[in-house]
Amino acid sequence: MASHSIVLRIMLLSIIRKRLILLFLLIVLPIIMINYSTLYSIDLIRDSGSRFLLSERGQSIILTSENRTSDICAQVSYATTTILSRNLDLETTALIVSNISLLERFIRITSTSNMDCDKSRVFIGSILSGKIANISSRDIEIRLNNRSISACLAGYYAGSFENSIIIEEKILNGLNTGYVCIVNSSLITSDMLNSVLGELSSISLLYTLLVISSYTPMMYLALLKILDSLSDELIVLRRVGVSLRSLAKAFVTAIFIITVLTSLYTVSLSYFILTLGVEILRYFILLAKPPLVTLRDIIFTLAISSLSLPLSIIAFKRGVKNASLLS
Amino acid sequence: MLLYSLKILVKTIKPQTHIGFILLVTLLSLLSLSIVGYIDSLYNLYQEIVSVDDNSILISSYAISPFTSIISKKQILDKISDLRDVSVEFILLTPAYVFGRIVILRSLSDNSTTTNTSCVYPGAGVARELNLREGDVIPVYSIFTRKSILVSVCGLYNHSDYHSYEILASEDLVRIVRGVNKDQYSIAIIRVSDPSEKHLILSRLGVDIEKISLLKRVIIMISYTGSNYTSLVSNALSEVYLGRLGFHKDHMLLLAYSIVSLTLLSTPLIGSHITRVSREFIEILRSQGVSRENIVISYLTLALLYISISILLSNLILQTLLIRLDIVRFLGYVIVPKTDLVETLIILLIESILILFGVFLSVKEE
Repeated sequence: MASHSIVLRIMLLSIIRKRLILLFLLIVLPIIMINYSTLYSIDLIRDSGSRFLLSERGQSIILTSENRTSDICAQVSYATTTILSRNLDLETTALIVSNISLLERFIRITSTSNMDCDKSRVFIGSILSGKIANISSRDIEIRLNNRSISACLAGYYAGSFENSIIIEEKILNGLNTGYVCIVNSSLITSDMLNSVLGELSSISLLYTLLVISSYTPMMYLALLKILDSLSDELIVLRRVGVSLRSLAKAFVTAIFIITVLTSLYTVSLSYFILTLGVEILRYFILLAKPPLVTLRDIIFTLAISSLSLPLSIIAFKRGVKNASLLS
Repeated sequence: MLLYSLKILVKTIKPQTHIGFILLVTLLSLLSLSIVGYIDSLYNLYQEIVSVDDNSILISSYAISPFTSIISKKQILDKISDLRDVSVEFILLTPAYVFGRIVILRSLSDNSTTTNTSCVYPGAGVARELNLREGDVIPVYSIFTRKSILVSVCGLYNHSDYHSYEILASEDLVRIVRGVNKDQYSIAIIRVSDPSEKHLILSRLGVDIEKISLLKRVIIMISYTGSNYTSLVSNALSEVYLGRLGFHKDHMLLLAYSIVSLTLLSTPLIGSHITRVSREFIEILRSQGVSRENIVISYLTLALLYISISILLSNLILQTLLIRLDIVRFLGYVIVPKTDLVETLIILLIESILILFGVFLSVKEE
């Protein structure tokens, strides 16, 4: 009885001799090439984005719901509010802090009233100053969260939140609370970049998955065709006494070996095409990062190749049923 | 005779195999149509956002998108203020960062709200996504001024299409976020009722009229740096903006069809499998003396039937299902795949050639 390695060798040689490798290539090339080039494009965007981030300096003022301990932050409440005065009824947004000095790093007080005030103090943002200018008295009333607060106009500020007012009050219950923080601008830009990249990655992943799902039946069709082309060899091997089990084992192993080889070949082909494309593009626009073959690509390749294992078993069983190999 | 052999062929193949073929080709057509549709829609996005028609002139500064352009209202009005039957719309558009998402803020042209600096009106789509309700107070971060402001949601804006993914606000409020002064806007659209006025305006803006008269439908973009106007004439707005980055429509379509071809690369296998599952058919017909040509034609007709049904099915799925799924986004806008007849026909053609090639090869083998 022929040993397993001899049967396997016969299968491999027959696949190569009958030029069936082309069929394997037809199946793995689209999946691997689409996956490789989309992942490369995302890498390219990430790369140019991080180069842009390196050049980004300066600081940003944000209002966030989480306390970022690594940054300079101040706790605030915020809500909509209405300023009521004898000749004014202005609806706007307000920041509420227990003491205005907490915000001194975020805003710039442009003018203050020297008069004492035993009520809540209110500071007006520079954009609203034009509308407030015609308030006749220093005493104003503020409606905040269904509560009326007597307050005095204590000054004006600029810097950030200029379209709002700041009320010096105890933190009230039932209002939104958050933290005004100074953070590195690059941090926010990288957040934005990551959200865009996240969207892109999920789209490309979805597309690759769809391509794989439509190529799984195609791989099955290809395996049936290969089995068909190998039927002469299989019949001869069966006649010389090779068991059906050994035939199946040799077929599945041969298919797996060839799929892995063609997949790896496709990865290098994709690498070659993309490198060539990048080199050509360099004449027109500056594209920095040449493609790389990473462990991720190899793992993906092996995963695609392993798809052939169950499919070749099913195809062999079906092929055996149809052909007269059982006899 | 052809009808007879086709009937036998259809009967030889099991019903579940027919369904399998149609499903497989439908899936492949869907993948191809959606790629072309998405790339097409993405390319036409600026056109949809700005909405310029044939009788308008769009003025923008040298920029890669309408969101980064800045123009001067005074300079434009100085040139055309004496003309009648001309309306000018100045629009401010800016990207802003709200709850970890990039959203486009657009100025309202309604005069009654132009000075309110605390109200925003999110479109229904963006409101649903960021979970915004009337009365909410939200922080908006400007990527231009690097500062935040607080605004309140004064109402929701119900509008289908792309405006559903924008936040509308007063000019003054958008100006704070964009960080520009009272005279500056993102873009201006000059609308004329009389085409001859269009030429007059263009000549005042220093545009070479001859360049335009060659094209039937044109979108004219005038970009200026300082006080110098240079004109760009194009059929598509994105061509003008994205062209500067080297993305021309032809390149985008080439990319789309390359992915399509790659996706469809192994469809000849489907064609060859059709003949494999119906070997009996060839035997029966050959024994009855039916000519080889007739057999080939029956196979080709069946394959074409599969492809036509699949294209119809995939188009139906695309129009009904994919349009409702928010899969692809760009700057907060949900991109919906739109394919026209020509694109569908091109994909139909590519698919047909590949599948028929497979059929032809394996019939020859048999």
